[in-house]
Amino acid sequence: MSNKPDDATLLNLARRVLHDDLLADLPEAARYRARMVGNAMAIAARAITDGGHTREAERKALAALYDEAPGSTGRVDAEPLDDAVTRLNWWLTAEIRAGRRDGDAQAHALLVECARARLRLVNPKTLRGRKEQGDVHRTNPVNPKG
Amino acid sequence: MSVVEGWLADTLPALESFLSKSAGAQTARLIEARPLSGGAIQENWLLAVDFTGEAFDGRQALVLRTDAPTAVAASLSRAQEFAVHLAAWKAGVTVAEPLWLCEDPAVLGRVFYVMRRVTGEALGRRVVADNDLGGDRSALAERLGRELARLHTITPPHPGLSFLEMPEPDAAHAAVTTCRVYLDALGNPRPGLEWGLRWCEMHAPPPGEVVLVHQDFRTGNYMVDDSGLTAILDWEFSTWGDPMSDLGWFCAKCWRFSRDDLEAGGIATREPFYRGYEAESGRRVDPDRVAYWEVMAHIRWAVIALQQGARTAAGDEVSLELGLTGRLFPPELELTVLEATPPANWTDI
Repeated sequence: MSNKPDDATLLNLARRVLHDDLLADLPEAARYRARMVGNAMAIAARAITDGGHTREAERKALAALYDEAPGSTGRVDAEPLDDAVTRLNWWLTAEIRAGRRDGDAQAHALLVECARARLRLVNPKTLRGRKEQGDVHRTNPVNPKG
Repeated sequence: MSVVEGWLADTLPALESFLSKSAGAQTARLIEARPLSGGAIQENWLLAVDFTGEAFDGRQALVLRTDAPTAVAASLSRAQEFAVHLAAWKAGVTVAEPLWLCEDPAVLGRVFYVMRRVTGEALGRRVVADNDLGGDRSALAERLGRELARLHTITPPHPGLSFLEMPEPDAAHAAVTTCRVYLDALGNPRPGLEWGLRWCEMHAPPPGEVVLVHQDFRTGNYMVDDSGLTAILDWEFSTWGDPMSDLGWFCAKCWRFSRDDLEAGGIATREPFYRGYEAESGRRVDPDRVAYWEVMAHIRWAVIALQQGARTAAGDEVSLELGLTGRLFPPELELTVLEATPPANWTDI
């Protein structure tokens, strides 16, 4: 069975039709909603292309923070990916709230990297112009709603 | 012929009777009613009403505001919002004149209130992008500073606002606690936001003045026409709090609509905004407090966005806009919070 073009390519083609062909013909009142449709399609297409890679990277980073690297305890290897990421994030959340990670550079670097990785999936254009970690802040707008 | 759209059409005699009685008129006839675009939390209807007799005689353009089928946890009821709106009006804040509150379920089946219609553009990205709107931008920022100062003259205890709770133990720690409660209710770990909340807990400014704060005072929530400000909108998040929190929300990076260089709401530098606020209030703007509340602003908006996404995920209100809000904004808000609170900025620990 042929899966060419693949799912992400199909979604991106559909989105291009929406943006390049249809949008101009739509009344002004409908354009905002059409852009939202395009946004949703773009998020889905990037998730398909990513194929869980971002989640896997997050698990590895979190596991390293807790010395749970694959092969060390075996725990993360046996656990479904989403369960492992959620469990480790709850752990980190509890530690932060309890004051056990105050100003912790390793935790901060991990959180920044994970936020950037998630942003790359949902809204990558807002990453452009943002400086790399280390060059602290005040570069790019947050691109809010409405 | 009258044009009354949607479910309001089924309520005509009761609504007209309420309007005429409230206006002290002999009759009120609804000529037009159509929904206005706007809040995910409320429904707003534009009404054209023909009154006969007394002060409202003639055709009046009004806005009816009622609850949408669902609402978020943090917002006031319409009756409470009306009380806040009225208090702001009496304090001289530029708002649409609030007219009548109706709590009788026999009229619409929901609580609603009516205000005069004010025209203008509110959409944040348009206000920021279109320099023909809002008149001179520096003057607009100064005016908004003055408006905020007038709102902040309202202090507890206030006879009409006894339903608003005082922040415990202080506004900053209360905000931290509230965000944590909401995050816990959402049921997914957000360690990036937790990092920011812990920083806010550790670096909270000492308790200070408590005034009526709008809590969503930003570009996108005021209306302008060609000459300037026409109304401050959306009072449903108002509460007692730190006056500097409203300034921080207004200046927060997430409300600059692609004009990060214009730190006062994407329309001007901070200078005219602060100047207007200081001149009207006689209070000094405390930049450290404002900076603190800017960090909190990004956390709070992220939590609200997550709540909106969760409403759609749970099927409470299936909406592409709410769903996208929950996915699009939190990661960048989180990143902004993390960048504003690097390890070097953790003091006294």
